[in-house]
Amino acid sequence: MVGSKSNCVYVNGSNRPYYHRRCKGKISSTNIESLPDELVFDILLHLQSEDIHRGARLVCKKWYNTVRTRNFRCARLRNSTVGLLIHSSGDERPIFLTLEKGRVEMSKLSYKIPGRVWTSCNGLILDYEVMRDAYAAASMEYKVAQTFSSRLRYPFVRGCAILTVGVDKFWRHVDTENLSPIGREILRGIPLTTEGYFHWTHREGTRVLTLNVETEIITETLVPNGYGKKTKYYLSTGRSLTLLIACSGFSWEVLKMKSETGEWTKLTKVDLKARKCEFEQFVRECCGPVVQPSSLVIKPVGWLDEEVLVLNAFPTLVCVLYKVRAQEIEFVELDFDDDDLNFQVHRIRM
Amino acid sequence: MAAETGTPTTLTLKSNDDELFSVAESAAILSVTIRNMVEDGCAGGVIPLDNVDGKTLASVITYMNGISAIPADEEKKKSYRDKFLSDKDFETLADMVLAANYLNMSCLMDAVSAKIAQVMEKKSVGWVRRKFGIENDYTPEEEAAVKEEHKWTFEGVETDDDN
Repeated sequence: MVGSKSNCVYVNGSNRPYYHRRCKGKISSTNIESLPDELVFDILLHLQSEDIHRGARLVCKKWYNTVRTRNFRCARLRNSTVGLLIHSSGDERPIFLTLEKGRVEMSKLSYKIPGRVWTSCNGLILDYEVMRDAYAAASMEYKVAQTFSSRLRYPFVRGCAILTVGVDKFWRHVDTENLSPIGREILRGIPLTTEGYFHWTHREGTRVLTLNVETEIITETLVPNGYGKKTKYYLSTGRSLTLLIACSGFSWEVLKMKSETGEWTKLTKVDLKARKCEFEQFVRECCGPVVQPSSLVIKPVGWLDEEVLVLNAFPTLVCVLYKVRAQEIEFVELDFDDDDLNFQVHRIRM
Repeated sequence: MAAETGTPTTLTLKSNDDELFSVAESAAILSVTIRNMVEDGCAGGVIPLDNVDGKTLASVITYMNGISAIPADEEKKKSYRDKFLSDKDFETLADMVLAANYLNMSCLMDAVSAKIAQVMEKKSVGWVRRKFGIENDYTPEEEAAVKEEHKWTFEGVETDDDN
Protein backbone atom coordinates (compact mmCIF):
# COMPACT_ATOMS: atom_id res chain seq x y z
CA MET A 1 0.00 0.00 0.00
CA VAL A 2 1.20 3.43 -0.77
CA GLY A 3 0.32 6.15 1.65
CA SER A 4 -0.74 8.70 -0.86
CA LYS A 5 -1.00 12.18 0.51
CA SER A 6 -4.39 12.78 -0.99
CA ASN A 7 -5.90 10.22 1.37
CA CYS A 8 -4.56 11.86 4.49
CA VAL A 9 -7.63 13.85 5.28
CA TYR A 10 -6.76 14.17 8.93
CA VAL A 11 -3.66 16.22 8.42
CA ASN A 12 -5.25 19.02 6.50
CA GLY A 13 -8.88 18.04 6.76
CA SER A 14 -11.75 19.57 8.60
CA ASN A 15 -11.69 17.56 11.82
CA ARG A 16 -8.27 18.59 12.96
CA PRO A 17 -8.56 20.16 16.39
CA TYR A 18 -6.84 23.43 15.65
CA TYR A 19 -4.73 24.95 12.91
CA HIS A 20 -1.88 27.03 14.16
CA ARG A 21 -0.22 29.05 11.44
CA ARG A 22 3.48 29.37 11.77
CA CYS A 23 6.27 30.14 9.33
CA LYS A 24 8.34 27.15 8.34
CA GLY A 25 11.58 26.91 10.17
CA LYS A 26 10.94 29.97 12.27
CA ILE A 27 12.11 29.65 15.82
CA SER A 28 9.20 29.24 18.16
CA SER A 29 7.87 32.33 19.83
CA THR A 30 4.70 30.89 21.22
CA ASN A 31 3.32 32.67 24.19
CA ILE A 32 0.09 32.26 26.04
CA GLU A 33 -1.62 35.02 24.08
CA SER A 34 -1.10 33.19 20.82
CA LEU A 35 -2.87 30.13 22.17
CA PRO A 36 -6.42 29.64 20.96
CA ASP A 37 -9.25 30.37 23.39
CA GLU A 38 -10.10 26.75 24.07
CA LEU A 39 -6.55 25.98 25.17
CA VAL A 40 -6.50 29.02 27.47
CA PHE A 41 -9.80 27.69 28.84
CA ASP A 42 -8.18 24.31 29.55
CA ILE A 43 -5.20 25.89 31.27
CA LEU A 44 -7.32 28.16 33.46
CA LEU A 45 -9.46 25.16 34.34
CA HIS A 46 -6.46 23.62 36.06
CA LEU A 47 -5.87 26.60 38.36
CA GLN A 48 -6.71 26.55 42.04
CA SER A 49 -9.82 28.59 42.86
CA GLU A 50 -7.71 30.99 44.88
CA ASP A 51 -5.40 31.67 41.94
CA ILE A 52 -8.36 32.36 39.67
CA HIS A 53 -9.79 34.76 42.19
CA ARG A 54 -6.61 36.56 43.19
CA GLY A 55 -4.73 36.26 39.91
CA ALA A 56 -6.20 35.05 36.63
CA ARG A 57 -9.37 37.11 36.46
CA LEU A 58 -7.36 40.30 37.02
CA VAL A 59 -4.73 39.53 34.35
CA CYS A 60 -6.71 40.65 31.32
CA LYS A 61 -10.26 40.95 30.02
CA LYS A 62 -10.06 37.78 27.96
CA TRP A 63 -9.22 35.71 31.02
CA TYR A 64 -11.84 37.47 33.08
CA ASN A 65 -14.50 36.70 30.47
CA THR A 66 -13.34 33.09 30.20
CA VAL A 67 -13.65 32.28 33.91
CA ARG A 68 -17.04 33.98 34.13
CA THR A 69 -18.75 31.78 31.55
CA ARG A 70 -21.26 29.17 32.56
CA ASN A 71 -19.26 26.58 30.61
CA PHE A 72 -16.20 27.29 32.68
CA ARG A 73 -18.05 27.02 35.99
CA CYS A 74 -19.76 23.81 34.95
CA ALA A 75 -16.44 22.33 33.85
CA ARG A 76 -14.90 23.29 37.21
CA LEU A 77 -17.71 21.58 39.09
CA ARG A 78 -17.40 18.49 36.89
CA ASN A 79 -13.68 18.29 37.54
CA SER A 80 -13.94 18.83 41.26
CA THR A 81 -14.02 16.15 43.89
CA VAL A 82 -16.71 15.64 46.48
CA GLY A 83 -15.38 14.36 49.75
CA LEU A 84 -15.57 14.68 53.46
CA LEU A 85 -13.98 17.63 55.20
CA ILE A 86 -12.92 16.73 58.70
CA HIS A 87 -12.13 19.55 61.03
CA SER A 88 -11.05 19.39 64.66
CA SER A 89 -11.77 22.13 67.13
CA GLY A 90 -8.01 22.58 67.67
CA ASP A 91 -5.90 24.98 65.59
CA GLU A 92 -5.18 22.33 62.96
CA ARG A 93 -5.43 22.04 59.22
CA PRO A 94 -8.53 20.12 58.11
CA ILE A 95 -8.31 16.65 56.59
CA PHE A 96 -10.02 15.94 53.31
CA LEU A 97 -11.17 12.37 52.59
CA THR A 98 -12.03 11.39 49.03
CA LEU A 99 -12.60 8.37 46.91
CA GLU A 100 -10.20 8.28 43.95
CA LYS A 101 -10.67 5.43 41.49
CA GLY A 102 -12.13 3.23 44.20
CA ARG A 103 -9.42 4.03 46.75
CA VAL A 104 -9.85 6.22 49.77
CA GLU A 105 -7.37 9.10 49.78
CA MET A 106 -6.66 11.24 52.80
CA SER A 107 -4.98 14.65 52.54
CA LYS A 108 -4.42 17.67 54.75
CA LEU A 109 -5.64 20.94 53.30
CA SER A 110 -3.07 23.68 52.92
CA TYR A 111 -5.08 26.21 54.89
CA LYS A 112 -6.60 26.44 58.29
CA ILE A 113 -10.17 27.48 58.83
CA PRO A 114 -10.67 29.99 61.58
CA GLY A 115 -13.41 29.08 64.00
CA ARG A 116 -15.63 26.11 63.43
CA VAL A 117 -16.93 24.97 60.08
CA TRP A 118 -20.63 25.44 60.09
CA THR A 119 -21.62 24.10 56.70
CA SER A 120 -19.99 23.67 53.34
CA CYS A 121 -21.13 23.16 49.79
CA ASN A 122 -19.56 23.32 46.34
CA GLY A 123 -16.31 24.72 47.63
CA LEU A 124 -17.70 27.40 49.90
CA ILE A 125 -17.15 26.97 53.60
CA LEU A 126 -19.12 28.97 56.12
CA ASP A 127 -17.53 29.43 59.44
CA TYR A 128 -19.90 30.11 62.20
CA GLU A 129 -18.37 33.10 63.81
CA VAL A 130 -19.18 34.99 60.64
CA MET A 131 -22.61 33.68 59.78
CA ARG A 132 -25.17 32.16 62.10
CA ASP A 133 -26.52 29.53 59.80
CA ALA A 134 -25.93 27.85 56.48
CA TYR A 135 -26.04 28.13 52.76
CA ALA A 136 -26.24 26.20 49.52
CA ALA A 137 -25.06 26.68 45.99
CA ALA A 138 -27.53 27.14 43.21
CA SER A 139 -26.29 26.53 39.71
CA MET A 140 -24.38 29.78 39.49
CA GLU A 141 -24.66 31.47 42.84
CA TYR A 142 -24.10 30.83 46.46
CA LYS A 143 -27.00 31.53 48.71
CA VAL A 144 -26.92 31.75 52.44
CA ALA A 145 -29.95 30.87 54.50
CA GLN A 146 -30.43 32.14 57.97
CA THR A 147 -33.09 31.09 60.43
CA PHE A 148 -34.29 33.29 63.24
CA SER A 149 -36.88 33.66 65.92
CA SER A 150 -39.53 36.21 65.19
CA ARG A 151 -40.02 38.47 68.18
CA LEU A 152 -42.98 40.24 66.66
CA ARG A 153 -45.61 37.89 67.92
CA TYR A 154 -46.14 35.28 70.56
CA PRO A 155 -45.61 32.36 70.56
CA PHE A 156 -42.28 32.95 68.84
CA VAL A 157 -42.22 31.59 65.33
CA ARG A 158 -39.04 30.38 63.71
CA GLY A 159 -38.57 31.92 60.31
CA CYS A 160 -36.09 31.62 57.50
CA ALA A 161 -34.46 34.13 55.21
CA ILE A 162 -32.13 33.75 52.28
CA LEU A 163 -29.65 35.92 50.40
CA THR A 164 -27.34 35.52 47.44
CA VAL A 165 -23.73 35.95 48.52
CA GLY A 166 -22.01 38.99 47.09
CA VAL A 167 -25.18 40.20 45.33
CA ASP A 168 -27.95 40.86 47.84
CA LYS A 169 -27.74 43.49 50.50
CA PHE A 170 -30.97 42.39 52.19
CA TRP A 171 -32.38 39.09 53.34
CA ARG A 172 -35.37 37.70 51.48
CA HIS A 173 -38.08 36.16 53.61
CA VAL A 174 -38.86 32.47 53.02
CA ASP A 175 -42.46 31.55 53.70
CA THR A 176 -42.71 29.12 56.64
CA GLU A 177 -46.47 29.46 57.21
CA ASN A 178 -47.11 26.05 55.66
CA LEU A 179 -44.87 24.29 58.21
CA SER A 180 -46.20 22.63 61.35
CA PRO A 181 -45.22 24.24 64.67
CA ILE A 182 -42.99 21.23 65.47
CA GLY A 183 -41.51 21.43 62.00
CA ARG A 184 -40.59 25.06 62.46
CA GLU A 185 -38.66 24.19 65.59
CA ILE A 186 -36.22 22.11 63.57
CA LEU A 187 -35.09 25.29 61.83
CA ARG A 188 -33.09 25.91 64.99
CA GLY A 189 -30.54 23.29 63.96
CA ILE A 190 -27.71 23.23 61.45
CA PRO A 191 -28.94 22.27 57.99
CA LEU A 192 -27.36 19.70 55.70
CA THR A 193 -26.79 20.63 52.08
CA THR A 194 -27.29 18.53 48.97
CA GLU A 195 -27.19 19.67 45.37
CA GLY A 196 -29.48 22.69 45.31
CA TYR A 197 -31.22 21.94 48.62
CA PHE A 198 -30.97 22.60 52.33
CA HIS A 199 -32.33 20.04 54.76
CA TRP A 200 -33.08 20.70 58.39
CA THR A 201 -33.38 17.55 60.46
CA HIS A 202 -33.48 16.63 64.08
CA ARG A 203 -31.70 13.57 65.43
CA GLU A 204 -34.65 12.35 67.47
CA GLY A 205 -37.22 13.57 64.99
CA THR A 206 -38.98 12.14 61.97
CA ARG A 207 -39.53 15.47 60.22
CA VAL A 208 -37.35 16.88 57.49
CA LEU A 209 -37.60 20.41 56.18
CA THR A 210 -36.28 20.86 52.66
CA LEU A 211 -35.54 24.24 51.14
CA ASN A 212 -35.17 24.32 47.37
CA VAL A 213 -32.47 26.90 46.77
CA GLU A 214 -33.61 27.78 43.24
CA THR A 215 -37.30 28.30 44.03
CA GLU A 216 -36.74 29.32 47.69
CA ILE A 217 -39.69 27.19 48.75
CA ILE A 218 -39.53 25.18 51.94
CA THR A 219 -41.43 21.89 52.39
CA GLU A 220 -41.92 19.51 55.28
CA THR A 221 -41.79 15.72 54.96
CA LEU A 222 -41.91 12.77 57.34
CA VAL A 223 -39.62 9.75 57.34
CA PRO A 224 -41.41 6.42 56.77
CA ASN A 225 -43.37 4.97 59.70
CA GLY A 226 -41.77 2.66 62.22
CA TYR A 227 -38.52 4.51 62.79
CA GLY A 228 -39.77 7.04 65.33
CA LYS A 229 -38.07 5.64 68.40
CA LYS A 230 -34.77 4.50 66.89
CA THR A 231 -31.48 6.40 66.87
CA LYS A 232 -31.22 8.27 63.62
CA TYR A 233 -28.36 9.83 61.73
CA TYR A 234 -29.13 12.19 58.88
CA LEU A 235 -26.23 12.54 56.44
CA SER A 236 -25.73 14.30 53.14
CA THR A 237 -23.92 12.40 50.40
CA GLY A 238 -23.40 15.69 48.57
CA ARG A 239 -26.05 14.66 46.05
CA SER A 240 -28.86 13.56 48.33
CA LEU A 241 -30.01 13.22 51.89
CA THR A 242 -29.70 9.84 53.58
CA LEU A 243 -31.00 8.56 56.88
CA LEU A 244 -29.23 5.85 58.83
CA ILE A 245 -31.25 4.10 61.45
CA ALA A 246 -29.34 2.23 64.13
CA CYS A 247 -30.53 -1.37 64.43
CA SER A 248 -27.76 -2.25 66.88
CA GLY A 249 -24.39 -0.76 67.80
CA PHE A 250 -22.94 -2.26 64.64
CA SER A 251 -25.70 -2.21 62.05
CA TRP A 252 -27.75 0.45 60.32
CA GLU A 253 -30.53 0.60 57.82
CA VAL A 254 -29.92 3.16 55.07
CA LEU A 255 -32.69 5.23 53.49
CA LYS A 256 -32.37 7.91 50.86
CA MET A 257 -34.64 10.86 50.16
CA LYS A 258 -35.42 12.31 46.76
CA SER A 259 -35.03 16.06 47.31
CA GLU A 260 -37.58 17.02 44.66
CA THR A 261 -40.44 14.97 46.07
CA GLY A 262 -39.49 14.06 49.64
CA GLU A 263 -39.90 10.36 48.79
CA TRP A 264 -37.84 7.91 50.84
CA THR A 265 -36.43 4.66 49.48
CA LYS A 266 -34.59 1.89 51.30
CA LEU A 267 -31.05 1.64 49.99
CA THR A 268 -29.33 -1.09 51.92
CA LYS A 269 -28.45 -2.41 55.33
CA VAL A 270 -24.95 -1.95 56.68
CA ASP A 271 -24.05 -4.72 59.07
CA LEU A 272 -20.60 -4.68 60.63
CA LYS A 273 -21.22 -7.15 63.46
CA ALA A 274 -18.96 -9.75 61.89
CA ARG A 275 -16.11 -7.21 61.78
CA LYS A 276 -16.32 -6.22 65.44
CA CYS A 277 -13.14 -8.12 66.40
CA GLU A 278 -11.06 -6.40 63.69
CA PHE A 279 -12.41 -3.06 64.85
CA GLU A 280 -11.58 -3.69 68.51
CA GLN A 281 -8.10 -4.87 67.57
CA PHE A 282 -7.48 -1.63 65.60
CA VAL A 283 -8.77 0.57 68.44
CA ARG A 284 -6.44 -1.21 70.87
CA GLU A 285 -3.48 -0.62 68.55
CA CYS A 286 -4.28 3.08 68.13
CA CYS A 287 -5.50 4.09 71.53
CA GLY A 288 -3.73 1.65 73.83
CA PRO A 289 -5.33 0.03 76.85
CA VAL A 290 -6.89 3.27 78.16
CA VAL A 291 -9.80 3.10 75.74
CA GLN A 292 -12.25 0.25 76.07
CA PRO A 293 -13.52 -0.53 72.56
CA SER A 294 -16.86 -1.58 74.01
CA SER A 295 -17.37 1.91 75.47
CA LEU A 296 -17.14 3.60 72.07
CA VAL A 297 -20.12 4.70 70.04
CA ILE A 298 -19.86 4.04 66.33
CA LYS A 299 -21.46 7.01 64.61
CA PRO A 300 -22.08 7.31 60.89
CA VAL A 301 -20.54 10.67 59.95
CA GLY A 302 -20.46 10.92 56.18
CA TRP A 303 -20.28 9.47 52.70
CA LEU A 304 -17.65 9.42 49.99
CA ASP A 305 -19.29 9.41 46.56
CA GLU A 306 -22.38 7.58 47.89
CA GLU A 307 -20.16 4.53 47.92
CA VAL A 308 -18.13 4.58 51.12
CA LEU A 309 -19.80 5.13 54.46
CA VAL A 310 -17.52 6.82 56.98
CA LEU A 311 -18.13 6.01 60.65
CA ASN A 312 -16.36 7.51 63.63
CA ALA A 313 -15.64 5.58 66.81
CA PHE A 314 -16.67 8.36 69.14
CA PRO A 315 -14.82 9.83 71.06
CA THR A 316 -11.60 8.69 69.36
CA LEU A 317 -9.84 9.58 66.11
CA VAL A 318 -10.54 6.13 64.71
CA CYS A 319 -12.75 5.97 61.63
CA VAL A 320 -14.23 3.00 59.86
CA LEU A 321 -14.53 3.23 56.07
CA TYR A 322 -17.10 0.82 54.70
CA LYS A 323 -17.48 0.25 50.98
CA VAL A 324 -21.15 -0.49 50.71
CA ARG A 325 -21.21 -2.34 47.41
CA ALA A 326 -17.99 -4.33 47.83
CA GLN A 327 -18.68 -4.81 51.57
CA GLU A 328 -15.03 -4.04 52.24
CA ILE A 329 -13.88 -2.42 55.43
CA GLU A 330 -10.89 -0.26 56.25
CA PHE A 331 -9.82 1.43 59.47
CA VAL A 332 -7.96 4.73 59.70
CA GLU A 333 -6.74 6.91 62.51
CA LEU A 334 -7.06 10.62 61.75
CA ASP A 335 -3.98 12.74 62.28
CA PHE A 336 -5.34 15.33 64.71
CA ASP A 337 -4.37 16.34 68.23
CA ASP A 338 -7.89 17.26 69.20
CA ASP A 339 -10.62 14.64 69.11
CA ASP A 340 -13.59 17.02 68.95
CA LEU A 341 -14.36 16.45 65.29
CA ASN A 342 -16.70 17.96 62.77
CA PHE A 343 -17.55 16.22 59.49
CA GLN A 344 -18.81 18.08 56.44
CA VAL A 345 -19.48 17.07 52.88
CA HIS A 346 -17.31 19.36 50.82
CA ARG A 347 -16.35 19.88 47.19
CA ILE A 348 -12.81 20.74 46.36
CA ARG A 349 -10.60 21.27 43.37
CA MET A 350 -7.67 18.89 43.69
CA MET B 1 -4.98 -1.37 3.48
CA ALA B 2 -2.34 -1.70 6.13
CA ALA B 3 -3.90 -4.81 7.64
CA GLU B 4 -3.78 -6.69 4.32
CA THR B 5 -0.12 -6.07 3.71
CA GLY B 6 0.98 -6.69 7.29
CA THR B 7 0.79 -3.90 9.83
CA PRO B 8 3.72 -1.53 9.50
CA THR B 9 5.50 -1.29 12.79
CA THR B 10 7.26 1.97 12.13
CA LEU B 11 5.80 5.25 10.94
CA THR B 12 7.64 8.24 9.55
CA LEU B 13 6.51 11.63 10.75
CA LYS B 14 7.52 14.88 9.10
CA SER B 15 7.59 18.16 10.98
CA ASN B 16 6.69 21.51 9.37
CA ASP B 17 10.41 22.30 9.10
CA ASP B 18 10.94 19.09 7.13
CA GLU B 19 12.61 16.97 9.79
CA LEU B 20 11.80 13.27 9.55
CA PHE B 21 11.22 11.05 12.57
CA SER B 22 10.75 7.31 12.82
CA VAL B 23 8.43 6.13 15.55
CA ALA B 24 6.86 2.80 16.44
CA GLU B 25 3.25 2.74 15.34
CA SER B 26 2.17 1.42 18.74
CA ALA B 27 3.58 4.60 20.33
CA ALA B 28 2.46 7.01 17.61
CA ILE B 29 -1.19 5.98 17.82
CA LEU B 30 -1.38 7.65 21.22
CA SER B 31 -2.20 10.54 18.95
CA VAL B 32 -5.80 10.11 17.86
CA THR B 33 -5.01 12.17 14.77
CA ILE B 34 -2.30 9.69 13.74
CA ARG B 35 -4.38 6.69 14.80
CA ASN B 36 -7.22 7.77 12.55
CA MET B 37 -4.80 8.05 9.66
CA VAL B 38 -3.40 4.59 10.35
CA GLU B 39 -6.89 3.13 10.56
CA ASP B 40 -7.84 4.78 7.30
CA GLY B 41 -4.77 3.32 5.69
CA CYS B 42 -3.03 6.54 4.80
CA ALA B 43 0.00 6.17 7.03
CA GLY B 44 2.13 4.07 4.74
CA GLY B 45 4.40 6.83 3.54
CA VAL B 46 5.57 9.92 5.30
CA ILE B 47 3.01 11.56 7.57
CA PRO B 48 3.29 15.33 7.30
CA LEU B 49 2.42 17.19 10.49
CA ASP B 50 2.08 20.74 9.25
CA ASN B 51 1.48 22.35 12.63
CA VAL B 52 4.37 20.91 14.63
CA ASP B 53 7.99 21.99 14.37
CA GLY B 54 10.91 19.57 14.63
CA LYS B 55 11.96 20.54 18.12
CA THR B 56 8.49 20.06 19.54
CA LEU B 57 7.85 16.88 17.55
CA ALA B 58 11.08 15.36 18.87
CA SER B 59 9.87 16.09 22.38
CA VAL B 60 6.42 14.66 21.73
CA ILE B 61 7.95 11.48 20.28
CA THR B 62 10.15 11.11 23.36
CA TYR B 63 6.95 11.32 25.39
CA MET B 64 5.10 8.83 23.14
CA ASN B 65 7.92 6.30 23.48
CA GLY B 66 8.29 6.84 27.21
CA ILE B 67 4.63 6.62 28.13
CA SER B 68 3.80 3.68 25.87
CA ALA B 69 6.62 1.66 27.43
CA ILE B 70 4.85 1.86 30.78
CA PRO B 71 2.25 -0.84 31.36
CA ALA B 72 -1.26 0.09 32.48
CA ASP B 73 -0.29 1.68 35.77
CA GLU B 74 -1.79 5.14 36.10
CA GLU B 75 0.48 6.17 38.95
CA LYS B 76 3.67 5.28 37.06
CA LYS B 77 2.36 7.06 33.98
CA LYS B 78 1.60 10.12 36.05
CA SER B 79 5.07 10.20 37.58
CA TYR B 80 6.58 9.78 34.10
CA ARG B 81 4.54 12.76 32.86
CA ASP B 82 5.59 14.86 35.84
CA LYS B 83 9.24 14.03 35.27
CA PHE B 84 8.98 14.59 31.53
CA LEU B 85 7.54 18.07 31.99
CA SER B 86 9.63 19.09 34.99
CA ASP B 87 12.51 20.67 33.04
CA LYS B 88 10.46 22.30 30.25
CA ASP B 89 10.37 26.07 30.05
CA PHE B 90 7.19 27.98 29.39
CA GLU B 91 7.67 28.42 25.64
CA THR B 92 8.26 24.71 25.20
CA LEU B 93 5.13 24.00 27.22
CA ALA B 94 3.08 26.36 25.09
CA ASP B 95 4.38 24.69 21.90
CA MET B 96 3.67 21.32 23.44
CA VAL B 97 0.08 22.10 24.33
CA LEU B 98 -0.53 23.27 20.75
CA ALA B 99 1.06 20.12 19.36
CA ALA B 100 -0.86 17.89 21.76
CA ASN B 101 -4.08 19.60 20.74
CA TYR B 102 -3.30 19.22 17.03
CA LEU B 103 -2.28 15.59 17.48
CA ASN B 104 -5.32 15.01 19.70
CA MET B 105 -3.42 13.54 22.66
CA SER B 106 -5.66 14.29 25.60
CA CYS B 107 -3.40 12.86 28.30
CA LEU B 108 -0.47 15.05 27.22
CA MET B 109 -2.70 18.09 26.81
CA ASP B 110 -4.12 17.68 30.25
CA ALA B 111 -0.69 17.25 31.80
CA VAL B 112 0.77 20.28 30.00
CA SER B 113 -2.23 22.49 30.83
CA ALA B 114 -1.91 21.48 34.46
CA LYS B 115 1.81 22.22 34.36
CA ILE B 116 1.25 25.71 32.90
CA ALA B 117 -1.42 26.34 35.55
CA GLN B 118 1.04 25.19 38.18
CA VAL B 119 3.53 27.85 37.03
CA MET B 120 0.89 30.47 37.87
CA GLU B 121 0.22 29.11 41.34
CA LYS B 122 0.28 31.76 44.06
CA LYS B 123 1.82 34.32 41.70
CA SER B 124 0.87 37.98 41.56
CA VAL B 125 -1.12 39.39 38.67
CA GLY B 126 1.88 41.44 37.54
CA TRP B 127 4.13 38.40 37.56
CA VAL B 128 1.70 36.41 35.39
CA ARG B 129 1.40 39.29 32.91
CA ARG B 130 5.18 39.71 32.65
CA LYS B 131 5.93 36.00 32.45
CA PHE B 132 3.32 35.28 29.80
CA GLY B 133 3.70 38.54 27.90
CA ILE B 134 0.09 39.57 28.40
CA GLU B 135 -0.86 43.19 28.03
CA ASN B 136 -3.02 44.67 30.76
CA ASP B 137 -6.11 45.86 28.90
CA TYR B 138 -7.94 47.04 32.02
CA THR B 139 -8.21 50.70 32.88
CA PRO B 140 -7.28 51.33 36.54
CA GLU B 141 -10.99 51.90 37.27
CA GLU B 142 -12.00 48.62 35.62
CA GLU B 143 -9.32 46.71 37.47
CA ALA B 144 -10.46 48.15 40.78
CA ALA B 145 -14.06 47.21 39.95
CA VAL B 146 -13.09 43.59 39.19
CA LYS B 147 -11.19 43.43 42.47
CA GLU B 148 -14.35 44.55 44.27
CA GLU B 149 -16.37 41.69 42.77
CA HIS B 150 -16.76 38.70 45.06
CA LYS B 151 -14.53 40.44 47.54
CA TRP B 152 -15.93 38.20 50.25
CA THR B 153 -14.20 35.17 48.72
CA PHE B 154 -11.15 33.82 50.57
CA GLU B 155 -11.32 36.54 53.18
CA GLY B 156 -9.82 35.35 56.43
CA VAL B 157 -8.40 32.13 55.00
CA GLU B 158 -4.88 31.57 56.23
CA THR B 159 -2.34 30.21 53.79
CA ASP B 160 0.65 28.30 54.99
CA ASP B 161 3.98 29.96 54.33
CA ASP B 162 5.52 26.72 53.15
CA ASN B 163 3.03 26.30 50.30
